[in-house]
Amino acid sequence: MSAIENIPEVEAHDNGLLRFLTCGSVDDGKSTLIGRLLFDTKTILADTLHAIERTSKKRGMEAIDLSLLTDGLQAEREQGITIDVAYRYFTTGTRKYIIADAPGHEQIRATW
Amino acid sequence: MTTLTKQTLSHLDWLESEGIHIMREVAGQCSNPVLLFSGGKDSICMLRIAEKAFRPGKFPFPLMHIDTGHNYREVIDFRDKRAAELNERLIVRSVEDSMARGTVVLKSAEESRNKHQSVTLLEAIEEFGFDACIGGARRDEEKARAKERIFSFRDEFGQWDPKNQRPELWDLYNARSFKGENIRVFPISNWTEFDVWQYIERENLELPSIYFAHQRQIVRRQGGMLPVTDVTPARPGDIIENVRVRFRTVGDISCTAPVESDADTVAKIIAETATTTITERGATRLDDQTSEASMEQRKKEGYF
Repeated sequence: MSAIENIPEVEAHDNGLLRFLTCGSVDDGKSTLIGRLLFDTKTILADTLHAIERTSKKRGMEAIDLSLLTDGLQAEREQGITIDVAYRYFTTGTRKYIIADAPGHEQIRATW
Repeated sequence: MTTLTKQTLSHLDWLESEGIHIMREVAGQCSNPVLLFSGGKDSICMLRIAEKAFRPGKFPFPLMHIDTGHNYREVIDFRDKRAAELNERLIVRSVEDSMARGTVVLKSAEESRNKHQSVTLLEAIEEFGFDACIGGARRDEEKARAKERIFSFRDEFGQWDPKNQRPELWDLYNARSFKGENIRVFPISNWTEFDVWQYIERENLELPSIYFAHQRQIVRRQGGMLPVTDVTPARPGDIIENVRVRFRTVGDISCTAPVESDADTVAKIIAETATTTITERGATRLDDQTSEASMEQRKKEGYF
């Protein structure tokens, strides 16, 4: 890795922090949407992407399953569902975001 | 005529306030808490938050470190120095003592002692009767941690049950437990690696030297670098190189890998962290790579 020289002077605007969460029914695509959002904001780093690519292939999927970015528990990955809330973070440089990805199953929703 | 400027809270102010609130909640709700302090960057930030929460009074809890016996000398010295500067009580419990007692049995002499810290931690909790342990884990570090509440309930065996977590509404935290049960509290859950470094820069916090670029003898193994030490000697056939590296994360010697870097100041580390392509614990923590669910598994066995 080369030395970081001449760090550019950027005027920093800090607009604080925004928290939001996903709501929806079973299999609506909440976790996948958050996964895609994290991917598009370049929050997903190379090793994480590589790991979920590997897991997706192991599960027999052709495309990367982006919901694996939030579904971190073993039971969730095996069943392809969200059992508990996951918290993910990204920043746009001016604001930090906290995303809570919620489960959709009626039976699970009550506990968080 | 004074002009009124709109006061906005920066994200670091928000995160810091949340951390202060959580620590004060622990002090208010728990009768015998403890703060797990390892000398690493996350626990150093936690000490600063604790100072802001409780000074000029003393902390309503002691500091504790579970020492594997394989920690970097620089980090141990820093831990002792910082505890003395703050004039707070530091308790050290060692995995080696558990090994002498027979409660920890290693499979081989070279086995990493990382997961065995759980046993020593549980023994220390029982010894002192702690009902809450404040730790510096963050949700962005690992996928199982992203699922954990800020106040994480552990049963009398220290086990985490991810399917039985308590509701945490807004900033209402529930630290109730019966005797023998424990709550693990993570005040910096919502902090990312980048936030930690920005906070270190803003507060001018001192860190152990190994976080900054330095020359070190390493061997390349499994796509990463392993430092050559008494605990992790080079194997026959390994090529020892002298490389400029720094540690992004600090576990102990047997499970932490450095990354190549020239960043020897906090500002340079921040610039590097902003442009990194690998996660903090991705290629650098061998304890996370034992299996896909290694952190979840360790937590179910009592890991902090």
